[in-house]
Amino acid sequence: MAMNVIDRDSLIGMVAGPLVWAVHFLVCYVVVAVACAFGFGMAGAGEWSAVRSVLMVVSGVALAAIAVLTLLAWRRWFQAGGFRTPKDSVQVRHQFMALGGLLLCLLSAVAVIYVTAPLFFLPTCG
Amino acid sequence: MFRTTRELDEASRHDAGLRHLREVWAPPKGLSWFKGINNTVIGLLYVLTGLFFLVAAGILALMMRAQLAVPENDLLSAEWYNQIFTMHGTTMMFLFAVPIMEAIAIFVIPQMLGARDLPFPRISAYGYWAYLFGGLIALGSLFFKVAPASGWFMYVPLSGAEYSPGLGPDFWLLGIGFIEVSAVAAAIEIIVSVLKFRSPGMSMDRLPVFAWYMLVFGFMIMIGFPPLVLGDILLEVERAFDWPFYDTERGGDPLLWQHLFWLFGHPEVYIIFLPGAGLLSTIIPTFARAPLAGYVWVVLAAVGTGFLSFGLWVHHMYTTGIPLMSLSFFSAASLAVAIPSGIQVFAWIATIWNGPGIVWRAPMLYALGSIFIFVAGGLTGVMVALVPFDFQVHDTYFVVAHFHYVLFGGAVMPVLAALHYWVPLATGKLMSESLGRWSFGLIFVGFNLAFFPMHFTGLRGMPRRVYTYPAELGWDWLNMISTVGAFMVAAGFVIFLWDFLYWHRKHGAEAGYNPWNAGTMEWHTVTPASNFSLRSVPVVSSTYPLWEEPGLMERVDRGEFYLPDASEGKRKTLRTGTVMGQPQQVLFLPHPTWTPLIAAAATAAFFGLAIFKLWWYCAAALVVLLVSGLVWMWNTEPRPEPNLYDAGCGEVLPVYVNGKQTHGFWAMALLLLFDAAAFASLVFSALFLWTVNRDFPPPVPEGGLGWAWITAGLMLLASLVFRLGVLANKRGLFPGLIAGLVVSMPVMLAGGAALLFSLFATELRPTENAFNAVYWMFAVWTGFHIVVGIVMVLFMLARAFAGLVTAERRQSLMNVELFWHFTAGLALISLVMVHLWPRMI
Ligand code: HEM
Ligand SMILES: [Cu+2]
Repeated sequence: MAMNVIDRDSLIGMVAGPLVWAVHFLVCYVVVAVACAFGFGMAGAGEWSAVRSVLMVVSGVALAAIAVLTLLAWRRWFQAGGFRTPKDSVQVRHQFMALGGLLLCLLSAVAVIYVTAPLFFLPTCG
Repeated sequence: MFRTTRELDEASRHDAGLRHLREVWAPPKGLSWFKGINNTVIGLLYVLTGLFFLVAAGILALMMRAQLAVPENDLLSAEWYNQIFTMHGTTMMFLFAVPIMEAIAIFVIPQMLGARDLPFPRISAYGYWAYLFGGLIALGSLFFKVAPASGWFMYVPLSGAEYSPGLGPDFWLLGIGFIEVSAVAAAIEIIVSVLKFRSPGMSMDRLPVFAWYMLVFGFMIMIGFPPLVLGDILLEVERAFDWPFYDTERGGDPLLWQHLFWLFGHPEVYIIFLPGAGLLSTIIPTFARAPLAGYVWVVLAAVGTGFLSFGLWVHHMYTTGIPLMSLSFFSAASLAVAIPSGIQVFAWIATIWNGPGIVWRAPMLYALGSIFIFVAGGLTGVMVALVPFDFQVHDTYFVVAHFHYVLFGGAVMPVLAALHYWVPLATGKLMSESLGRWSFGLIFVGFNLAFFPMHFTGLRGMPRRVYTYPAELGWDWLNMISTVGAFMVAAGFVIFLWDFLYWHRKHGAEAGYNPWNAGTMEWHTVTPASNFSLRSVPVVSSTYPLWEEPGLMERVDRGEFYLPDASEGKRKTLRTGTVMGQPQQVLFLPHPTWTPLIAAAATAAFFGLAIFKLWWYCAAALVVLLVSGLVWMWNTEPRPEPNLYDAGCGEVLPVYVNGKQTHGFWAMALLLLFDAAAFASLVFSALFLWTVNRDFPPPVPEGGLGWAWITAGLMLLASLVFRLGVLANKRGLFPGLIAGLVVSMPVMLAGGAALLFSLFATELRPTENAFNAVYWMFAVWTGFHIVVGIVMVLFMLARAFAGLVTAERRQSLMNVELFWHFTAGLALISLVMVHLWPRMI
């Protein structure tokens, strides 16, 4: 079933990476907003806090998910010819859809890393 | 192949199929012309209206620049200046930039995709008229000097009842609310069109790149506009009925408005920029004489930007005291979005590189100028995305310079390029090359002259939105240069518009066949383009059929492919598969009709009268809207017997299809996506107020739980009964269907009543504090859906008794069912938010 959704020809499969990014971003935003409002994220820069750990885990999960999606896209792309230019139009389409998904996964991974970076050196609230 | 209009006329004399097509698709004449719904007619009107609003907003800009030319000027009063800059920004963003992109898409997308028309021609006509009327209402307020004056972002409390007691904000809220209706209509139209109405063989990897961009654009509108719609509704309700969503005294928060506004407002910038980039990606290959380099990279950039731009909204609110960590998330996302933007710029440069050299024609000049200006704006964008720098220049002219660079380079210049490029499709004539160079020169030089100095005025501390400034601060000559530049831009526009509207039609060269030697299908035949788009709908096998498939277009014009005839006097188009583009259905399209215009006029009357709180007249307008809507919908779902149509190319396709792949179902699902996003914004509002208002905790309702349980039960029952009715219908059990529909209505109504009782029982009054107001808003939202749902079911009953709902013909029933379950879902979430959530925290 899961494999069906990220089938070679599915648009959802193509944007799966960015969707993970979106969820990750939302979770980070909400967790920090709630934590700061209720005062349990007050640890200063460099100090470790529960909020920070939670978000680290969330980021880890997001990156892992994107890694899996990337691998799947990579495999689909490779099956459809990879760097070669296939003659058959079905192969071309599969190649395009897979490469698009792959690139979007990479972009999402970069974006997730960008968003995660501040966790290491900024105070949570304030 | 037809190279001139005369050849086309000649051919239609002995080619019956061609004659039929021309007759069936001809727009009505005389007064009936206003019934027109074809995409070429509506698209042209749309473009002209967009330009009209551009001119209006441009005049306002000149008034501002004239005022700012010298220090201590008293040309405009402070109050008048406030109205003018508000209406300048509002008109540019809502009435020009977004609609003109829709306009261009409506005009060219079907031709480009090889479809005959858009999937819902009447809806695009309705959207157009709604846009025109709503825009005129909003702009009209200027003539009475009662325009809104709180900036295009309408920050509360400035725009609230206390500081803006007049009608100004109401004009804004209702006028813009209306524009959103049309934007949604166009977005649904464009999404469904790109995904389902393409030539056979045009799989996703062969989509014209503009279509990719417009697809992303459509989805961004579906997710980006709802927060503003909700914010609008809340503000209007606060102003009209004193429900305090934004009032700090009663537990509201002005920052809620800022969040809702920028949740929309930032994506809005990309909603404007992406189509602009799409235009560039279409035009540059033509004049570079090379296919777009890195097609898949550009698609990645469009889709990636679409997503990332939703993570940026708080960068407009850096200085509002949000936790530092949160700010850094938005800063990070703002930097990430630079990646796809950069990719696009490199793809354009690579395209030019790949080609044998640039053809230096006016559209290409505009395109290149656009890249230059956009890149300059992007660089300052990276600067203001950095929190410390932004603290420095926030609300100074540096920001004005930055966003004008982005908007002008990202949207206005590409639009000018596109108008120059595609105008032969409408008029059959080319615009003047020399006038084009003059207008480009004046606009490009003038723009930089006007806005480059603003970086310095900003760094020297000149704040935005001030109507005048003292002389001794060293801002005067910079401002004078800006003003001179602005008037140069205006001169360039005068030349452009004169050529566009008049000169080229009188004196321009005949465009003939494919004047720019482009590769995409909108140029496949003689100009001006026919209303029926193509003689026959081809099977394509590349992204640039005109370049890569020689001979294909001759065969199209000989009528060798799909739907080469309209002998039964009906407009038709082909629906194809989403990813692969295989033919699936022959769709009969509606013919010209008054209903869209009447419905739009009634909607306009409703919003216009609401400004003056003339509720009874509003109700009357609503009745007119309802009746025209019902008339409109009655003739949908034509189902010929036998349900087969010889589409040409040896293929026999069904005319009528039920199920999730139909265009009607997609439209309903997209509409509900929009609705769900607005509702999610309401949930966000409740949670947001809860996190920021530590000394104003959400009141915990006392009582009402019993009623809440009853509501939940009734809602589930209503859904279940409906489902049973639908299942009965599938088996052909007509009485079962009727029973399901008839019984589910009172159950749903009782559920709505129980929801109301559950709120009354809590004795929390909406005017008391913000949380109560939000609780009641949940009920109002659900109630509205219940009423609409009941109207739909009554309509289904009428159709059922007229024999229009059967086991075979059940698409509209399926759509109504989706809405019905959605409404039940809204009720359940509302219950959670009103009764469960406050008790848990
Ligand atoms: C040559 C053309 C233009 C000129 C001379 C111009 C001039 C100005 C000026 C002077 C302001 C600042 C008002 C103030 O802060 O006191 C302004 C604001 C603004 N402009 Fe333009 N503009 C032009 C084109 C555009 C375009 C094409 C767009 C959008 C597509 C646009 C959107 C805006 C917006 C959103 C604001 C902010 C209004 C606000 O603060 O509420 N402008 N413009
Ligand atoms: Cu922004």
